[in-house]
Amino acid sequence: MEASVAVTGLIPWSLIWMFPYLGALILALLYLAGVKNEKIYGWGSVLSIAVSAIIATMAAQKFYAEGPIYSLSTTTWVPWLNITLGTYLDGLGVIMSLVVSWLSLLIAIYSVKYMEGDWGVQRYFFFFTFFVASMLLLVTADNLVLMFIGWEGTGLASYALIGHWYTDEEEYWVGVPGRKALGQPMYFEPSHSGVRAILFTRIGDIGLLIGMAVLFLLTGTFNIPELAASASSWMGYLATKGILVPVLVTFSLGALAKSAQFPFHEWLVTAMTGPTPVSALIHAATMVKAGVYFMLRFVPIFFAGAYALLGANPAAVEAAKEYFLLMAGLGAVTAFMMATMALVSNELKLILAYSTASQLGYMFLGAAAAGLLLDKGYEGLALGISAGLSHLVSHAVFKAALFLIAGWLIHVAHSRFIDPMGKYAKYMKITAIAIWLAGLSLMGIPPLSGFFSKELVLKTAEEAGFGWGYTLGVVTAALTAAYTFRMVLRVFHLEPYEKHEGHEPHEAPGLMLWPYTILAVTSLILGLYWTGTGGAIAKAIGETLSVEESIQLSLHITTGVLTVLSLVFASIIIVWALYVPLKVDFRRLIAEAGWARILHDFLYDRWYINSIYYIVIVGGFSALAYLLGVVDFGIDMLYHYAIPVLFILGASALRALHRGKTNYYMMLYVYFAALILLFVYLAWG
Amino acid sequence: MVSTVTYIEAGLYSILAIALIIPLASMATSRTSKLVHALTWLAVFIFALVAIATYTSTPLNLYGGVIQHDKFTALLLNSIALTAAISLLSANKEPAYWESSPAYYSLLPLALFGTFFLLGAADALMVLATWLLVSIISYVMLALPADKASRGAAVQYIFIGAIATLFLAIWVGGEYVLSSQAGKMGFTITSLTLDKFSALVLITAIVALGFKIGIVPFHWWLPSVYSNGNGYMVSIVTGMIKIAFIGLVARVILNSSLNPLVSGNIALILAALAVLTMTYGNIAALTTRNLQKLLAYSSIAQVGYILVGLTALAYLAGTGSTNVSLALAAIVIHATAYGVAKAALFPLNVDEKSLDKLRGLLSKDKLAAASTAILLLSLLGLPPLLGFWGKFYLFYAASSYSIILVAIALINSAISSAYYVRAIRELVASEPTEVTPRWHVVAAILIAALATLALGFIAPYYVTSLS
Repeated sequence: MEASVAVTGLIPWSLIWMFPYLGALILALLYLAGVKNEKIYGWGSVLSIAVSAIIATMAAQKFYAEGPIYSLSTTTWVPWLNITLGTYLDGLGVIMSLVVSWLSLLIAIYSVKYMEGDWGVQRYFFFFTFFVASMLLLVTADNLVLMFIGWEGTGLASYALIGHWYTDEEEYWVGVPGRKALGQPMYFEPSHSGVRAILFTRIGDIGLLIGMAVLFLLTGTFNIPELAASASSWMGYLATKGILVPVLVTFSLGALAKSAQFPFHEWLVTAMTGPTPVSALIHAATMVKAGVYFMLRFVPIFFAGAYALLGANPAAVEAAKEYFLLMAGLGAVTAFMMATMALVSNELKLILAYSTASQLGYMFLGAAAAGLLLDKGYEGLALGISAGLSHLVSHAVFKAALFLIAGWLIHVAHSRFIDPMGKYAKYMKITAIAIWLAGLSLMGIPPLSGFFSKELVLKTAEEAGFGWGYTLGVVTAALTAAYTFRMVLRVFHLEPYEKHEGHEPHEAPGLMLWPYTILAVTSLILGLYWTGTGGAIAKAIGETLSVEESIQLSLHITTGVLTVLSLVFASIIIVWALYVPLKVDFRRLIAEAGWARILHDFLYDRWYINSIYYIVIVGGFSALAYLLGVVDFGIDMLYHYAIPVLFILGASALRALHRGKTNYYMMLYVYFAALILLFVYLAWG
Repeated sequence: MVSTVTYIEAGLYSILAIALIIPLASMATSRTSKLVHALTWLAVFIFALVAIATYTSTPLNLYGGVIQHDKFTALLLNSIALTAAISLLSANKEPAYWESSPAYYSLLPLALFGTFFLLGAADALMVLATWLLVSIISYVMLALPADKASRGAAVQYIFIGAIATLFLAIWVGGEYVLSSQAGKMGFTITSLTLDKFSALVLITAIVALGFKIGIVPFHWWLPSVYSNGNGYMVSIVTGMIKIAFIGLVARVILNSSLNPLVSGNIALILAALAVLTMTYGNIAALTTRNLQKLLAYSSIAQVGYILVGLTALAYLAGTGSTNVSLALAAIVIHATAYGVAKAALFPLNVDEKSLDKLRGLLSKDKLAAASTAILLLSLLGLPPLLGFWGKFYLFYAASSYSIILVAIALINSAISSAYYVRAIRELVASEPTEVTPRWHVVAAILIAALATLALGFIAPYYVTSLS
């Protein structure tokens, strides 16, 4: 894959992730030392991330000038497992670290204002900085173990920040208090949501660990480039054993869970109990992309393995295709399913959360479908990987903007629901422009970046011949336009459903306004200058995959593109018509029409998947726990009641035989002597 | 050239002489004379020398073969010397202040003198003679403190002892018949046969000797005597005297079981008694709050474990296996562990018996607490203490006879942990108590604990020295 990479010392390029870790450590020490001033924590966090962003930018310059950077410690970290300590910055790593560090920086600045006066602000910035460091480690680690450390670090920070308001006040919940589906509560407190997040992702992470162990046993290394180089041999071996698909799927479970793909999507929805900047950074722009990053990193490796085995080992090639198809299918299903849920939600952050999971589905679809382009060779692969990465980048930008805006709107409305929101365009002009820019990008309207990246994903699916996946993708595009348009329309232009009480809405303060405005404008610029954006991504991927010819990431206007666009515009017009000229009262419709209520509840209660999980899994384990409890109670009673009572009675009874009377003892003595004598005498012989 | 035998005989006569001189010395000086105390210690010291000399010159025949010592009995003599020293150290000068003074200091050497002959008795008549000597000494000793409880205990002991002696007399007669049937002279303890008469002989031996060492169901006197008697006196009865009787029982069983046709029968009877004895003792000890009673019932249980070894001895003797020595070593080790621990522990609460009153007794003195814990844990059978090796070899020897018997013994050990651990917990509890243990009692416990630890390290050599 990479012919010759110049290896340098661990420093300076590892500072990309080391610096935020250092920052987090200092914040922790300050906290332990009793420093309370929240400004120190906020700006300390911003500073350490800023340094990281600058180093990442320098690394990017170096990469585009000289090629991949490999920053490796001179000594082996864990010799008996052959684990090194190194930072590997190829095209993928460079772009990921750029996106992560700069987005984190903007969101950190936003947080300084947003978290002002919060009782846990010190803890917030510690975990925020720790998260950024872990995420950067994840995307730049040269081996699986180091990557896994970063991976788990992000999970820990995610858990801590979802449950940031662990005192569980109702204003921080997700869902309508009291609402139940199939008898299961559909409202979640922060502490509950944190546990859900860590449990859901832990299931996947166990798979990832198992996969890592299998790969190490087969190859004796955790080093990613080395694993890539030997892909054909270990994939061939696993295929002859008939377990290639299970191993690859197990290995990818961590990615599926981290990126909230079906059937692991539930945790992301309730993760919205965290502070909104956290939702923007961790649960939209970066951490949930870790799974996509994993796919972008490993699909080329699996592809290379399968490509080398073309003709030589048909079973391995078929197995690899099966795996790619499964992953792409899960992505398409997730994209569609989550988009339908977003259509009916009335919680601002939930709409965005559904949308995030849905868009992550697109990225999975693109990255996995790239693997299906085996027949087209590395150029086909490069197209799909670039598509996945492009959508990752453009989504990170516009979704972060949308979340940051949402954070401000929720603050203004004193509600997480959109029902009290409306006509905000009148009060906040800049924010309105920002949300339209970011929203149009999400809807996939040219010339915004979201249009290009989504079309690239759909193009990959189409070229891969993945028919139903492509169809689901197209339908999802229309749904995405519908729910996004509905959200912006209702919040910024229509009268609110419920009268707003309190202060008049007003524009956000600068520290919050500028970060999301910059992001929204960036989304526009990336799109307007798509030849440059796409070119940079294509070059990075091309370099990484050693594809000689330049990849065409510019779009040709085809019937496919036109179909998607017309569907998108059609759905926007339908939504507009329903709300503006027709003035359909959806709330009355749901209350009166049975079919509407059934459909609404099905989507609103997330296809009942959450309830089914609770009934089957939580209920199942509760039943098992109850059963074991009964058994345990029995054992407990046996040990702590039945047996002691038996012994206590026995002890008293035996001692009661001793009455202290000499004649009585003499009688017993002689009596037993005679009895035994008689018995033995008769039995003797 | 004077032979070792002469030295041994001279030593024994010196001990007897000391026992007889002490009343005179007491009259010449005073009841609490230091001389009397020193003379008793001298007798114990001489006995220890005799024991060592006996061990080095085995097999030893004295008085024309009436007294015979082998390595097994010689090792027991050493244990008796150690136990006597512990008992004497523990009692120190207390018995000197009793009305009966100086009887204690005179009877202790006399009892030591008796144990040498009891353990060495080669024929049934000699057993009867030494049995009477040692028994009467122990009856008298129990009555020495002159309080009502002690006298009651002594009287009870004497009455049941009288019946037991009758059984022993019948056994002596039976042995005469058996030995003449086997064409031997006099009262030689002879192997049993399938003849019904043998059953009679066996059971009279078990009934009589079972009374002495406390085999259920001939143990009735034991809990009340052990728990009502004075701690210093019980220390003698359960220590040196019991070790001697355990040795005697082992010798009788060994000599009776040489016929492979009957050894199975004997082993089966002993096994049944072993199960009965250890289970009875352990369960009865479980809930008592009286420390002396707890130790009394635990004594029954400990004899139950030794019966497991006796079972193995009977079975192995019949098969002619060389593992007989393993069973004998096991009995020596466990009898020693038992005797040393009990001789030191019984005097711990001479005045006070309830665990509630004794709670925290050893909390002030860490060394005393640790020593007591060591002794109780040795009785429980915790490695590397002597009691562990005792149980280990007892059960190991019995494993060739019956795994079920070993399993029952192990379960019994587990049950016993409940009361041993509770006793430790109560005694070292960090609560103030009004009772303070006397320094000499604590010193005896310390010595006993050190011996238990030290002997624990050399315990495997007992096995090699007997094989």
